[in-house]
Amino acid sequence: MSTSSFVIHLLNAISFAMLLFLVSVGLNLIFGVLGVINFAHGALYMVGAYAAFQVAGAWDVPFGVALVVAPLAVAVIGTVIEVLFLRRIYARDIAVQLLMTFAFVLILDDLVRLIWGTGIKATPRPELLSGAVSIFGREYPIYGLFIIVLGPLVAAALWYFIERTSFGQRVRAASTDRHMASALGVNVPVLFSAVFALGSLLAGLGGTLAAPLRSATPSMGENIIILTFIVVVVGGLGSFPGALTGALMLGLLNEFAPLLVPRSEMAVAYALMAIVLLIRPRGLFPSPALTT
Amino acid sequence: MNKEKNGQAPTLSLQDVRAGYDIGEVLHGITLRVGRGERVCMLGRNGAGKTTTLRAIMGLLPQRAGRIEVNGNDVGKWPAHRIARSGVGYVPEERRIFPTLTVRENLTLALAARSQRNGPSLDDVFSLFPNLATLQRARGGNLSGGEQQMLTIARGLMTAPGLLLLDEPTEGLAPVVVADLQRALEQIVTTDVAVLLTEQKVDFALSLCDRAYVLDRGEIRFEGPAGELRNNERVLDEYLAVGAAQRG
Ligand SMILES: Nc1ncnc2c1ncn2[C@@H]1O[C@H](COP(=O)(O)OP(=O)(O)OP(=O)(O)O)[C@@H](O)[C@H]1O
Ligand SMILES: [Mg+2]
Repeated sequence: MSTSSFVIHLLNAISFAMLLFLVSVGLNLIFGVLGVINFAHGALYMVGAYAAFQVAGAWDVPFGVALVVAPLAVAVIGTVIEVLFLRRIYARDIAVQLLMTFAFVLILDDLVRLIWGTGIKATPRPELLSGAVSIFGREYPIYGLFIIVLGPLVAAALWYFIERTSFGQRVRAASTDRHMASALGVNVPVLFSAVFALGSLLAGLGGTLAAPLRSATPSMGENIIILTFIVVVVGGLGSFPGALTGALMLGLLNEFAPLLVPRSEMAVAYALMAIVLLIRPRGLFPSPALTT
Repeated sequence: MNKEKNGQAPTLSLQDVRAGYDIGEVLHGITLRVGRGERVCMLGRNGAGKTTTLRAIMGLLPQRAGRIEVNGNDVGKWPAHRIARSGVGYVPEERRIFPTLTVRENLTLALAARSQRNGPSLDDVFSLFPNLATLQRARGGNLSGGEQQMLTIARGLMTAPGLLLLDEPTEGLAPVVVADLQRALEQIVTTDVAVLLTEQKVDFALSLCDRAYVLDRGEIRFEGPAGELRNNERVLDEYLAVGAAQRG
C-alpha cells in the first residue's frame, strides 16, 4: 500500500471511530450513571440522522442549524422516554429495563418509517465543509476532517463537564451511590433525566454527523447499536477512555480488515469482542462506576 | 404550617412508624422524639432496626407508615433529597463515602442540601478533622477506614443540619481512632445541632447523649434519661447484652 492511500485509509478509520465514539460514550454515560443498558440508543442515533435530513435536506436550512437542532430534538425525545417510562422501572429487574428500551427501538423504527418512509434520505454536505483538501497528493473530503476534529473536542468538553462542574460532581456521586447522593440533597430523578438527555444528545449528534456521510436509512439504528455494543464491551461499560479506545480499535479494523479479506469487517469486529471477553471479561478499562 | 408552630415543634418526631423492606416489616411501630438541640441515642443489638429507623427518617425506604415529622412538617411522602434540604444531615453506617470523588468533592457535594441555611465552611470541618485537610485531593476510596468515617461525619456537617443522624460512627474502628472521633463528636454535640445517634457501645453513647431509647426487634423497649438507663441493669442485660463486666 502506498503512503498516500494508507493515510487516506487511516483518516477514514479515525473519522468513523470518532462517530462511533460519540455514540458509545453516550451509551456509556447512561449505563455508568443510571445502570440501564439502553437498546434504543441506536434508534436515537437514527432519529438524529433523520432529523438532520429534515432540517438540512428537506427544509434546506444550513447544516450548521441542523447540527444544533437535530441533537437537541433527540435529547428532548430521550427526556420524554426517561421521564414517562424508564424512571418507573429503575428499581425493577434488569430484564424489564432491557425489554422496555427494546420496545422503544421498535416504536422509534416504526415512527421513522411512518414519517419518512423506507427510502434512503440523503443529506447534502454542508457547503462550508463540502470541499476537499489535498493530502499526499490525494483529495480528502473536509467533512471527514471536520468529524476527526469534532470528536476530540466533544470528548474534552464532556470530560470538563463531568470532572470540573458541580453538575458533573453530582453525576459522579450518583453513579456510585444514588441513595447516598439523594440523602445529601441531590435531586436524583432530575439528575437522571439530565444524564439520559445528555446521552441521547450524543447519540443524536452522532446521527446528525452521519447523515451527510452515509444517508439515513431505517436500518441504520440496528447497525450502529451492534457496533456500539462491541465498542463498550471491548472498552469497558461505563468508561470514557474505554469508549475512545474501543471506538478507535473498531474504526481501524473496520477500515483495514476488508483490504486484506474482503467483507471481513464484521467478522473481525466480533472476533475482537470475543477475544477481549475471554482475556478481560469486563473490558479493557473495567470500572465500578462512571470513569472519565 | 405557620411559623409559630414550626418554632415550637420538636426537631424530629416519629409516631407509630412502621417500615421495612421487600422481605417484610422491620419496624413495628416506633415512637420517638428529638427536641431542639437535644442529643438522643438509640441503642440496640445487631439487627434491632437502628439503621432501618434512620433510613425511614431519611426517606430511603420504599414503604413507610405512621407519621414522621421534621420541624413540624410531615415528611412521610418527601423524597430523600427534600428531607436533606430541610436540614437533616445523614451519616450512614459502613462509611458510604463516594470512592471516586476526592475528599474535597465528597464534602462540597453536601452543599446540594444547604439551600439558604448558613453552615460550616470547609475550613471549619477541617479544624474538626485535621487529617482530612491534608487529604483533600485524595480519592475517597483511598482513605483508611477511620479517615473515611471522619469524612462521612464531616460531610454530614457540611449539609448544615439542624438534626444530625449518626449511624454507629465508631463501629469497627481501632481504639485510637475512636478516641479521635469521640473528641470530634463531643465538640459537635456542644453546638446547637440536634443529634440522633445509634450505637452498640453503651457507655460511649450515654456519655454523649441526654436521653436514650433502647430498640429490640423493631420495637422501643426503653425510653428515658441517659443516667437512668446507665443504672437499669435489667434493660441493659435483656436488650443490650452488656453485663456490668463488659461495660467499662
Ligand atoms: N436492605 C435490606 N433488605 C432487607 N432486609 C434488611 C435490609 N437491611 C436490613 N434488613 C433487615 O432489617 C432488620 C434490621 O436491620 P438494621 O440494619 O436496621 O439493624 P441495625 O440495628 O442497624 O443493626 P446493626 O447494629 O447490625 O447495624 C434486620 O433483620 C436486617 O436483616
Ligand atoms: Mg445498623
